[in-house]
Amino acid sequence: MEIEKYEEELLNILESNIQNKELYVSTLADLNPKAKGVIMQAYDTWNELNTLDSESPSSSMDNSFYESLSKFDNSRSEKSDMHIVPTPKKASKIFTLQRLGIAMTFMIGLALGGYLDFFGTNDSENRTHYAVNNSGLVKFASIEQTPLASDRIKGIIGTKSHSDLDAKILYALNDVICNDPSINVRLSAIETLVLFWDNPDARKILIKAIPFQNSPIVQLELADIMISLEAKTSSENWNQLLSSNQLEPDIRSQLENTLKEIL
Amino acid sequence: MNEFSDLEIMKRVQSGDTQLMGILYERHKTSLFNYFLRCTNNRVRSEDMVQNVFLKVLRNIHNFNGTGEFRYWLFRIARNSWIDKTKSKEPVMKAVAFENDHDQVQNFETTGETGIKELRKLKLRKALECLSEEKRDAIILSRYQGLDYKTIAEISDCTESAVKSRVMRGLTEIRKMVNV
Repeated sequence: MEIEKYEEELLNILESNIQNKELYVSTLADLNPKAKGVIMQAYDTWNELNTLDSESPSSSMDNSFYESLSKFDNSRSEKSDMHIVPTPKKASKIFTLQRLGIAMTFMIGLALGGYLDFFGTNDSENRTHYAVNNSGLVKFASIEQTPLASDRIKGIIGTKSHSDLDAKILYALNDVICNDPSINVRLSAIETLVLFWDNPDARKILIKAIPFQNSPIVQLELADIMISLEAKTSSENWNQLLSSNQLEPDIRSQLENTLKEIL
Repeated sequence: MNEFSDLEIMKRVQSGDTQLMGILYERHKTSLFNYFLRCTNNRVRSEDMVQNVFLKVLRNIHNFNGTGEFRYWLFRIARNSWIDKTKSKEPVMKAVAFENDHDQVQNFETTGETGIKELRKLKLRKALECLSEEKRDAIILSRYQGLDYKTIAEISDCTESAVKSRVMRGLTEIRKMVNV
């Protein structure tokens, strides 16, 4: 479909933000007397279309959208959570025990393989080896470099294959647990650190992260972990969290109930 | 969060904060709803389509590379959704719209000057609806959504010149239809 020169000029006027469009259009029409009728009629139609008012959608559209968004979020969480299903509470207990089982098996395997210092062997050589290999892994958890939560989770899961966590990885996991906006990413980092509970730095990070948690899911998960591991040294951090006025009342009472053995 | 641009929010959504899609929804729902309303002349169907578009945005969130405006990407998805719908449901929708219009025309004929104005609006709506899909789309996106011809061309996978031609021919056809 070819377009005449005057038509193009008219459309450019209509598209522009100039104030006095009518003057420009009538000038264009005067310069093209044969097409004057077409130009003015097209201009009138363009203006008349403005009489068709905008309408507002109903509130039921909003309700349906937010319901769908919530469902979408839940289905996404289920996919990325894998076996870290934090609620309901009974399920959480089961999965915590499962995790501990996996952790123990893993630790025994590592011990039998001579990677851990359970039997007084010197593993400094191994530590150096991992520190070198892990130097690039700190990127796995950086939200700036890994904007997708699923990629950060993959990166975190990847660290589980190592026999120990070097300082860089521990620092990155600490950052994740305290700052990552995604609950699933935080839970993955917590799960990884539980596997390395034998490492005093991993323990310290997990315990120190307690007061920084604002998600009830993470708070309850950490409480279950601390109880399972009988981590009495975490009591001060729990008290700090429990004294926060931002804690939801229901969650506070649930936490107090769960943690009564170590508080 | 409301002071963040669409692109900044999209980055957060891409990194896992899907709930922030609610902000983008609030910003664009009315304009998208009116786009579909002018295409379909049917409120219920338009509302359904708005929701479907936002769900498609979420499902394809990682296809957004952040190089263009989010709104343009949104309208590309909206346009494609509408085209898909018309391919499968067009005869039914047109029939429903015509029946509604017929009832409304009957009512306006007896309601004086206001009725004449409303009847004129109804004719405009009907004329817009009767345009070919390409012409209607070009007019809606330029007249009501304020998109420039270049952007419409990108969204519609055609040349800028083709968009201008569709708008011009569409305006002429509307004029003829409403003046009958």
